[in-house]
Amino acid sequence: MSKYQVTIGLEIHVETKTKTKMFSSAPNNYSATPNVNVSVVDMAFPGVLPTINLEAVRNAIQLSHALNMKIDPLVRFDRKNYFYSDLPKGYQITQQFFPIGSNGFLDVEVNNEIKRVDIERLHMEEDTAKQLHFDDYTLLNFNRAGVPLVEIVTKPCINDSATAQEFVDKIRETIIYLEVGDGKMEEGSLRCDVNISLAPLGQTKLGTKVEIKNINSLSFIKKAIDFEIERQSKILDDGGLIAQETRRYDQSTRETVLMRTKKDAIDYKYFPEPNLLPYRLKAAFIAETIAASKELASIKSERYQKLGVSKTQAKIILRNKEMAAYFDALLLQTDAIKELTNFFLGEFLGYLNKNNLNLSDLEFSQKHFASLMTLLGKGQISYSEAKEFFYRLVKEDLDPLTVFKDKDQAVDVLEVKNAMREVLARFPEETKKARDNNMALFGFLTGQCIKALNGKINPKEIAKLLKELLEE
Amino acid sequence: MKQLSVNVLKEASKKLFFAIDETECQSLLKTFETILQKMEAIDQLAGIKTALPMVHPLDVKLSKLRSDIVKDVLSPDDVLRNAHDVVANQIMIPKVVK
Amino acid sequence: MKLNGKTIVELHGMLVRKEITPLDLVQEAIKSAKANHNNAFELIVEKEAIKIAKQLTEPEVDNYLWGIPFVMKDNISTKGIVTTASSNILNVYVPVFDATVYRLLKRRKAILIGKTTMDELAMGGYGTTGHKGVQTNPYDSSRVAGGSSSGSAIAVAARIVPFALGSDTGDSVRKPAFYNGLVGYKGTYGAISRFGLFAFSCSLDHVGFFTRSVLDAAILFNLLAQKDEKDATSMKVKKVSLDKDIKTPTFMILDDLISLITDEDILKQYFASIKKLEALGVKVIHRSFGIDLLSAIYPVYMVLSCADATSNCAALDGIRYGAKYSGNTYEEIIFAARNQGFSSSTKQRFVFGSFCLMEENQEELYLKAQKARRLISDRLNHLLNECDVLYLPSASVAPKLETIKQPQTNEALIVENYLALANFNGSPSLSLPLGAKKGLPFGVNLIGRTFADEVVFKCALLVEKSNAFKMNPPGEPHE
Repeated sequence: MSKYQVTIGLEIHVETKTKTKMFSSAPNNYSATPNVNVSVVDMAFPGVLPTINLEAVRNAIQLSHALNMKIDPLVRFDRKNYFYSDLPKGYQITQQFFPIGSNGFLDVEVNNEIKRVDIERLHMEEDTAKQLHFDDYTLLNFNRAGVPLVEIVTKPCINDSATAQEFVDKIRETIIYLEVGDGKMEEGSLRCDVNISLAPLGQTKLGTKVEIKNINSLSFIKKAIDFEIERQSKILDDGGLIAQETRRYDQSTRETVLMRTKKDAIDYKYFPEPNLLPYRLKAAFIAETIAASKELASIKSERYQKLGVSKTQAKIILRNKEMAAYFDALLLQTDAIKELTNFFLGEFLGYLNKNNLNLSDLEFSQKHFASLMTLLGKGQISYSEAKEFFYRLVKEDLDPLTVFKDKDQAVDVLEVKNAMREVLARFPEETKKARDNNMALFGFLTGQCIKALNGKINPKEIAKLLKELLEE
Repeated sequence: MKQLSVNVLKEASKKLFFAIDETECQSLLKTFETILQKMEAIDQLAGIKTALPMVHPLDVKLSKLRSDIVKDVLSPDDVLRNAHDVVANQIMIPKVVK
Repeated sequence: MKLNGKTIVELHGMLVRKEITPLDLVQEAIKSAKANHNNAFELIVEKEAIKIAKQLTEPEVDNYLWGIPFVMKDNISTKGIVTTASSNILNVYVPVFDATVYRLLKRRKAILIGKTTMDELAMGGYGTTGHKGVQTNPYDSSRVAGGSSSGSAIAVAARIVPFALGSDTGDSVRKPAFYNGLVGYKGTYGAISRFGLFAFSCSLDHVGFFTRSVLDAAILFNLLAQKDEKDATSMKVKKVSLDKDIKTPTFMILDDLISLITDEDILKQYFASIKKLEALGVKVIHRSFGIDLLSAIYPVYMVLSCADATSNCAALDGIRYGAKYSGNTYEEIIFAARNQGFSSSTKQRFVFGSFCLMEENQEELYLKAQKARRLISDRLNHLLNECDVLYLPSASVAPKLETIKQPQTNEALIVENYLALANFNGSPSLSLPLGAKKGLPFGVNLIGRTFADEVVFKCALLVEKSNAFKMNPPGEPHE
């Protein structure tokens, strides 16, 4: 297997989230009812004209920026001409000559190693109609026709299937965190084509490129590539030549299957779209759009780490965007970050998993959860008390501040201090030594105070107050 | 440039989903002869090499993009009114082999 | 005399004074539409027109279009009314939306009488390639009407309606205007929305119209020139005001182009008209465009328009709309639709255009044509900066039907295609009648700077006034 240098490039199609379609004002949302989200433009009735959706352009800018790409301020579109049953106009409007994003990269972590994947281009285009295939006929549903797409094309710089899969996963995560799309591969809102070639090790010239089209799950990316490496290796081992062709991955046989050979390659006859004048993006608009981007997972991770959350912990929280959002909301309501993180990853996630619950199933107030963490952070309650209370919280949504009122800072500090002064008066020698930083006697005095106060206030707070008294 | 021939023209028409016959090919070849000869003469125009290809008649930019607001949605009836075979609110065509 | 032989302005006066009613106009229009022998109509919308006319009882004093009957070329989308662009592939196609221009006219209560025949999908110069066969000239049925807006031109020339909408990609309104003794206008590119106009070549296509007077054309322009959010190339332009005359405008004559025109009668009339204009204070200057650039107009137009057309018409596949064609696979259906649905000449244009777009040919053909378009437009814009309008005559009267298939000389290709100049750079351009030769009209054309529609109208008014030529109504057509 290692006799060949594997070179992989990816083309990823992303349906982006907008209210309307790329070039028409028909709704861009999923509907179970066919042909309800359609305008005259989507049907390519004679005489219709395209108009560019501002929101789709904003999505493309945000995604380009997240992928470290250069943004072309002059937005231009072209036509890709071909006949197909799902293509109403007989051409697709795309950005062949001047993609909005170019020359970017994305770092992915594979086996604890950071790999940089160079991205050649990101361009805007439109989706085709949905075909429903039956035994002897096909039904056409135009709800999807004209849905905004961006296509992301990497350079041929990936050398293994794991990196390819990880890259697509990272793209998916980026889309989801930016909220520019839902990134659902199974539903086709994220689709991937793989270009792959094998060449003898040491040879600089790339081998013959084979394209695998329309892979619709993360794991199939790896499987399709691995299969293809094996298939091509065998051919090369036997002294054969790789044919330049387009294949698809058949999930039932777990093989790639020939779709068409180079002989049938389509000449798309690209030319600039005459119905759309170029549009100049103002620098301020680009800046505002980027500034309005939702926080990426990688940025969130850095922010968490600055707060003391470990990288591994951050990774777990960020696996799910809604979870991260829930965590973020808690962060705004408590300073007890360490306690929160541990409790969140331990008890909280454990509870959800064990009961197979989603965040939306939770009925208690997040404020109460945050208060509980604050109490825990201040040492006013113990971990086991917090845990115990949490299970009451999920059922009854109690306010921990009410329940633990006597343990809260609502305790009269003056009264506590007076009681402690009495204790210190009873042990003058020890007090003097403790003032001279005798830690053992400091501990002894703390113990005496705890006893005297009889659990009215938590030990941590007592130690703090004692320190203050000794410094008086 | 591709060499012109009856076959090239027939192949091109096939890709456009229609056929042209021998007479049409001959007539087309004549059209090509006239126009290609004139296109060649264009090489002699001063500045042709450096001229920017002109896509739009006016040197203007689009002033505004479309706001993302739903408008002008067709009823399924209107979507399908002109189609010939409709099944379950969708256009039916013979099975498309992928 | 037919009422509909009058101008919009004249009819408006009569309507306001209640001397006539919209119903009078509509009934007369339908009667003469039915009697027309030049094959001008795809469809007459009799019932609907009469119904609307009956509803119009109170004249709107400040609305020139109120109750005025009109027709439109059959490549303009009309909701609920079959629209075929004179192509079999669109037989039975009933649009579900109105073109913006039609919507604007309806809103002003102008009354659509019918849809007019044309060259198939607007591709043709004579009115001979549509599915209804040949359109003939109302002044001589052995001659062409001129295309591609043939039916619309006939309908105005034959006094069926006072105005008609057409489309102009190379000269398809302004050339038939020459041949039918009419005013034909296309405004600055983008002034009038193309939404609903079936695309032929998007960057050259314009909605245009035929009228009997320059003033009528200006009235229509002011109504139709509105920025349309549905057309991304549409632009806001100033309304035309003809209150003040233009003072000593400069007209430019292209000597090299004129030198190629061989019709002495037309030239004589043309130069006479220049004398009259000079007498009115018009400054006339002479320039040459450059024969090499003029020679490039025809091939560049063919390459660009056919290439665009092949792409624009790819949507016509018989699946979503249009006539029903059968097949065992979807490819067979598309093949049947396009093979039977398009005429021979249309297919040839598509193959030609497709060849120009092929990857290995684009540089030599499509791109080179786009570059040449730039040079031609630059030259035109440069010349227009020295004058108010180019002033150029038609090269001939409407040709005999049997002569149009004959190959044209290089000179003829130049003088018969120069009107496309205004499509290349988007200039406003107006044709108007200049005279007649043995009962056949010929005209003169003005091309102005882009966005200077008003200047073109004002200059055209001067020509109209000084020349004082009105074409007589055509006699009964020869059987």
